[in-house]
Amino acid sequence: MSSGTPHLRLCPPPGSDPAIVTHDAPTVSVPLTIERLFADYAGYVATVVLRVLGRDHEVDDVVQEVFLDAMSGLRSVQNPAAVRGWLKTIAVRKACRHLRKRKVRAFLGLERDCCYEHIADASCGPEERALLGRVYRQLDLLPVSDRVAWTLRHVDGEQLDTIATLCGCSLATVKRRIAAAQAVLERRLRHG
Amino acid sequence: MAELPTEMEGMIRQASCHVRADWSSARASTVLSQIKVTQVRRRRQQVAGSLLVMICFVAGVLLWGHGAGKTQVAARIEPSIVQLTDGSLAQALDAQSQLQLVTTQPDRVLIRLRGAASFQVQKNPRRLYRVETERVAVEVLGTRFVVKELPNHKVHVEVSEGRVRVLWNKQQRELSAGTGGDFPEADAQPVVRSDSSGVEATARFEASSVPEATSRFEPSSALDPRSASALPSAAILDRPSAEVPLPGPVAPIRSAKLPAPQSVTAKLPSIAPVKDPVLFTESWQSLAEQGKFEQAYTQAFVHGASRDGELDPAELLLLADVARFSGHPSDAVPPLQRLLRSFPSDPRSPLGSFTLGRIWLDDLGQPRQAAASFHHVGELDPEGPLTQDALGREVEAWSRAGEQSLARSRAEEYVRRYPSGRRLRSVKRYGALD
Repeated sequence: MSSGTPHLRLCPPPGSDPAIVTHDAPTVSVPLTIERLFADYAGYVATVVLRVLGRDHEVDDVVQEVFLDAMSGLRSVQNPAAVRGWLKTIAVRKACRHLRKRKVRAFLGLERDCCYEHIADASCGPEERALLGRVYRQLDLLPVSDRVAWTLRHVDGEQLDTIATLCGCSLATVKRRIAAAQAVLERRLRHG
Repeated sequence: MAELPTEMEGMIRQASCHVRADWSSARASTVLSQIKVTQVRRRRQQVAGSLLVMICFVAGVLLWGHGAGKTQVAARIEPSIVQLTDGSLAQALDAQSQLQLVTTQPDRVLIRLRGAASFQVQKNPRRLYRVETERVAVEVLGTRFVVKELPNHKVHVEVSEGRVRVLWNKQQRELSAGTGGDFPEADAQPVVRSDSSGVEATARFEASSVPEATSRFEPSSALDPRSASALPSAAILDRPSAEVPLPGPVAPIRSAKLPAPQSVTAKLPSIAPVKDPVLFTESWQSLAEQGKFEQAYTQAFVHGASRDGELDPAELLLLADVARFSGHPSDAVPPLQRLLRSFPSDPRSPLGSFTLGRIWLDDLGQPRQAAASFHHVGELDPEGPLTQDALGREVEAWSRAGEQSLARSRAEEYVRRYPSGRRLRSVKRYGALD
C-alpha cells in the first residue's frame, strides 16, 4: 500500500453504508474551505479511521492529519462530488501509516494492550461487542496491508475494486491480501 | 476466495454497523482548532527550515570566500594607512604621503604610493603584493620595507626583512634584508654591504683570470656615460650572480592571470609584468634535473632565480650545464668562474675548469682562455683523472691559438708523462711532434 500524495479516485456512491451519515456533496457555487470540508466530512473520516484502527483515542490525530493533507490539495479539487472518496483515500493511507507506526512501537515494547470492546456504540449487544474485540485483537497480529484490506472489505463493506483504489494496488492483490487475512482469522477465531 | 463461516461473517457485518466514531461537535471543534494550530506550526517549521537552509548556504559561501581569499578584504583604509585582514600593514611616513588601495584580489594587492611609506607584509606565496610609484614598482613576497619617493624623481627602497623585487623600465632587481637602493638605477649608487670579504675575491678574479666576464657588462654601462664606472663597480662590490643586471633587458613576462589595472599600466608602461606562475612553480634546479634546460635557463637566467642566495659547487656546475644545454654557452662561463673562484679546493673544481676550457675552445672560439683553463686543471689536481685529457686539450688549444712553441712544449710534457696516453696521436699532431 503506497503512502504517497493523495489523489482523487473513483469511489462508489455514498449511501450503501447505513453507519455512515452522508451529506450532500458541496455544490460548485459554494467555495471549498477547510471549515466547510471539516464540517461535512469530519465524522465520516473519523468513522473510516476508527474502523481501520480500532482505537478511538487515536482517531483524532489521524483525522487531523487527513485534513491537514486535504488543505494542501484543496485548490486542485475540480469536482466537489469526488471530495468524499478523496478524503477516504487520504484517511485510509494515513491510517495505514499510523498502523505501521503502531507496529514499530509494539516491536519496541512501547505499545500497551488495548481493549477493543468499546469501539462499538451503545446499541451494540454484548456478543457482538465481544466478537469485535476478538476480531480486532487478531487483526493486530496481521500485516498492515492484509489487515486494512480485510477491514475495508468486511467491516467497512467496500467493494473489492474500491478497496484496490483506496489501497493503491491491483484487484488481485486486494483479493490475495483479504484471503490471507481471512485464513488467519478463520483459524484463530475458530480455535480461540 | 474462501469466506468466513456464514454465521460468523454475518455477525461481524452486523457488529461492524455499530462501529462508528462518536463525533460530537465539541470534539470536532477541538480537532479543527488543533488542525489550525498544527497548520501554523508547520508553516513556521517550513519557514524556519528554509531560513536554516539559506543561513547555511550563506554561511558556507562566506566561509568559502573567507578561506579562499581572506587577504583580499581590507580591514582599514585611510589615506595614510592600508591594513588587510591578514595583518599586512602599509603606513605613510609623513602627512604629505598618500596610500591608495587600487586592487584587493585574493591573488593580488596593488597599492599606489605618493610620498613615503613603510610596509609590513605577511607572507603569502599565492598573492602578489605590489606597491607602485610614478616610475618604480615593488613586488613583495612577505617582508618589511620602506618605499620613499625622492625629490630627484627617484624612489628609495630599503628592506629590513625578507625580500622585494624592484621593477623599472624593463629592469628589475631583488633586494634582500638589510639592503636598499634608489631606483631607477641608471645612475644608481651601488649598495655597500658590510661584508667585504666577497668583494675582494671578486675583484681579484675579475682582474686576473677572465677579463671577458667584466666586458660583458660594458654594453649596458655604455648606454649612460655617467654609469660607465658605476656598473662595473657594482659588479665588483656586489655578488655578481645576485645583483649585477644581466646583459640585455629583461624579457617581458606574460601576465595572464594577474592583469594590471588599466589606469595603472597607462602610467607605468615600462614596468615588467608579473612573473608567469607556471614557470615559477618549479625551481630551475628541478627543471634542469628533469632535462628541461630551456625552462631552467629562462627561470635561472632571465628571471634571475639563480641569483637568489648562495649556490654550492654542484649548483654552479648544474647552472653551467643549464646554460650550455639550452644553447647559451657564454652564460655558462660565470658560474664556472665563480666555482673556481669561491671553491678552489672543492674536488669538483677540476671538472669545472675542464668544462670551462671546453666552452672557451669549442663553443666560444677562445683558445687562449681555453688553454689557461685546461692548464688550471693540472694545477688544481696534478694526478687527477682529468689531468691527462686536460693536458691533451691544452696542446690543442695552444695550437689553435697559433702558439706552436707552447703547444710543442706541452705536447712533449704529455708524451713524457703519458707515453701511451689515449690522446697521444692528437697531441703529437697538434704539437708537431710527428
